[in-house]
Amino acid sequence: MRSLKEFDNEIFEIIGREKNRQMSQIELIASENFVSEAVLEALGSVLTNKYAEGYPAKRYYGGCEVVDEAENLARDRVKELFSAEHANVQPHSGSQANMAVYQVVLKPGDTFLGMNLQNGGHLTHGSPVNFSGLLYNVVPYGVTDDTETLDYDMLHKLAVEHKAKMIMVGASAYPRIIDFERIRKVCDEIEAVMCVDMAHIAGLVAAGLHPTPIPYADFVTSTTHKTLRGPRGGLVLCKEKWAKAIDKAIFPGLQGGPLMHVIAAKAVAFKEALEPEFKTYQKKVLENAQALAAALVAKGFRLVSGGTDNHLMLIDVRNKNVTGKLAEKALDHAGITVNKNTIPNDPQSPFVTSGLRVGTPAVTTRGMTPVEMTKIADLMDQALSAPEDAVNLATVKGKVHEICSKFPFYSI
Amino acid sequence: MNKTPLCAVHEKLGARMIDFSGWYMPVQYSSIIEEHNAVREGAGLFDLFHMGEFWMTGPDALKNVQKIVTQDAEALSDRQIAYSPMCRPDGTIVDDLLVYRWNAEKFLLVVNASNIDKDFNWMKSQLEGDVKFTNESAKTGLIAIQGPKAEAVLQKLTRQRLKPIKFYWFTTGKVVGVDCIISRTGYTGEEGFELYYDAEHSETLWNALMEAGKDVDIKPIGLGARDTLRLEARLMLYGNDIHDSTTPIEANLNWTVKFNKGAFNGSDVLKKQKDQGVSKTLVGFELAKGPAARHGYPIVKDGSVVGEVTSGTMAPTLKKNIGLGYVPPALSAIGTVIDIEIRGKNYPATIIETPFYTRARS
Repeated sequence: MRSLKEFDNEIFEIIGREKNRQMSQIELIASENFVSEAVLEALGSVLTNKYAEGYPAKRYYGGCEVVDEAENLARDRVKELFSAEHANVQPHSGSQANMAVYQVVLKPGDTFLGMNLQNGGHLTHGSPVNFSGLLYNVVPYGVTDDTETLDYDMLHKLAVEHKAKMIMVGASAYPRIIDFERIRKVCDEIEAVMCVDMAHIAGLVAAGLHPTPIPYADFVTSTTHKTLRGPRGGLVLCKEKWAKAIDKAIFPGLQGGPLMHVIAAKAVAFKEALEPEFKTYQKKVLENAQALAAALVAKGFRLVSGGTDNHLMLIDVRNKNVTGKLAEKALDHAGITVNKNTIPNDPQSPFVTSGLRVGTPAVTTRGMTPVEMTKIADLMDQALSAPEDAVNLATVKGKVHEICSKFPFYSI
Repeated sequence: MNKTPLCAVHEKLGARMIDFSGWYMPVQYSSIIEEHNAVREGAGLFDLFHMGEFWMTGPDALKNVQKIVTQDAEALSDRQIAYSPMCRPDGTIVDDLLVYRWNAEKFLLVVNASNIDKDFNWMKSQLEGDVKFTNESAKTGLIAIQGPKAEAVLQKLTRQRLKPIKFYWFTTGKVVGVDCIISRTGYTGEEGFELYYDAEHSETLWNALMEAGKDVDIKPIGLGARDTLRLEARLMLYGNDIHDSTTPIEANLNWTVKFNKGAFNGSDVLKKQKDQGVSKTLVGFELAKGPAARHGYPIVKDGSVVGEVTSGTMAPTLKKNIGLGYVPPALSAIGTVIDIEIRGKNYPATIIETPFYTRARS
């Protein structure tokens, strides 16, 4: 059989170039990470060939006995990792995991509360352009103007006022710890279902470094590829009483054949996350986030809510006289990958924005430490001081390469 | 004599140690009744290192298990367990075991300590096709935690949620950092779990469980209470109730013999016994008065010996003398009165429903 290189050199080269890009840039996108070679190996395996509609021992195809074991392992491990009563590891993505929960809990037109996208929520938590906003009646909650932290009083008031059937908790750009217990009380008061999308913080939760939503939430959804450092994919955890309903919603409700190679790779990542080293890694993610936040503040950057409790922070770039869009582009040219992000009460449109979201999971995986975080803050400041000056950006890029070359990662 | 890795721990706990089929094992720590009640009301810990663990793996693993045991391993789901006799072609029982199905190509078989060598040689002689068969008994630790509080105690030490594990199912997970097979099984008639692990972690696990169980007054349980607990629940003791010359049909273990799975060791003889009847059948009895019946005492009807007691004890939970024994089927009906000959004197006993004790299910 011909190798990829022999048969399709274009794609082969693209993969090589992308690997070089990942390794030669400083990856600060808070939702990204670098998986282990063991995870890559499982992803690139012949398990991709197998159709396995259904669940272990209850498949609609023959020859599933081997992949059944992979799915059983993945389920056992993730249940252990999060002390969950039931797990479904088939969702292709976090969006599909959320969609499955909505399908179980809501009927089209039903009301649920979700965090405003502009305030750090996620697309699938009720954005008007997303299925969640199109199908359901969404009441958005957000952060307070003064502290820029979750407005629990507003959440409570809205939930009662609108008799919400479900409260969706979780965010994609929120740097503070979420008080799950407090939101559970609101849910109990109005008999609403509580769903927590912990995609961003899943790795921290697994390591016990962020309070776990598991005891409070009826459903917990997540992706597997952010702080959790697994392959791109989703999962749902829930109480035993919801097990049958959620399984049915994912298959045959939303998906057909599960991606068995991805499920095997998830199992590998969960095994990694159960090792003591994973907790050490997550601790370092937090240490690096603290170091980066402190160094950015020292350089005069304003952080939304004044800092961070987790792996990410939101930078308000207005006092640097740039927009989020320009800052993202300038940093990209300088070899630092970030994403522009709206900040609370952002005067700019979502396409321009006044903020940047940065996180430490990926750089920590490469082995970078608080020393590098300080250097990175300096380089970001230098790049944004003359964001359209090609020479300046090239100078920064040189320094970025110098740092990156000290932290090789992949051997394959 | 063989020693368990927890030998010193038992001695330190003040256990009385005995020779149990070649193993230096704790028979009791405080009193049998106290230990028995701890399991019925709270939680008890058992060191079962002496039990045997065999692995059967490979493409023909299922086929071999199907031939060797009377239960249907194909009907088991992955992560499910079956209790099963293992018979010879003549239907007699080599041993009774637990069959843990990982998948069609991977099984864990747990056998009685006294039969490890016999079973291993027997199974090996039966193997066909592409299968790997190993005896991992020497490096596999086994601790059981049993009792209504067992789940709460064990849950303190593992992230794996125990509640969803159904009776006779298992999962895997770390318990105080030790990789374990966690199965909801036991030999007491009570709620509880059994943990299989690398034996070098025995003390870590044992001590953590004892510590975690302090608030429910967890007790280490010796072989003495193990016997009274299992007998109340009518769980078989190999060597007593079943042995090399009894069959599962005679032992009233019909529910463990799955004829519709196809031919297996003993299936012809057992089918015949099932259809045409047996000459002896295992029944449970209670004595109205007198001393406890013991293994080997004669069962008498109208002055002649008709059978033999296989197990007997003063049952601590039921507070009466109970026992198991073989009688002719004509005398096996519930309510039949027989005599047990105890030290030359006959004491009337009534055949009653078994199990003698069934836990209240929540």
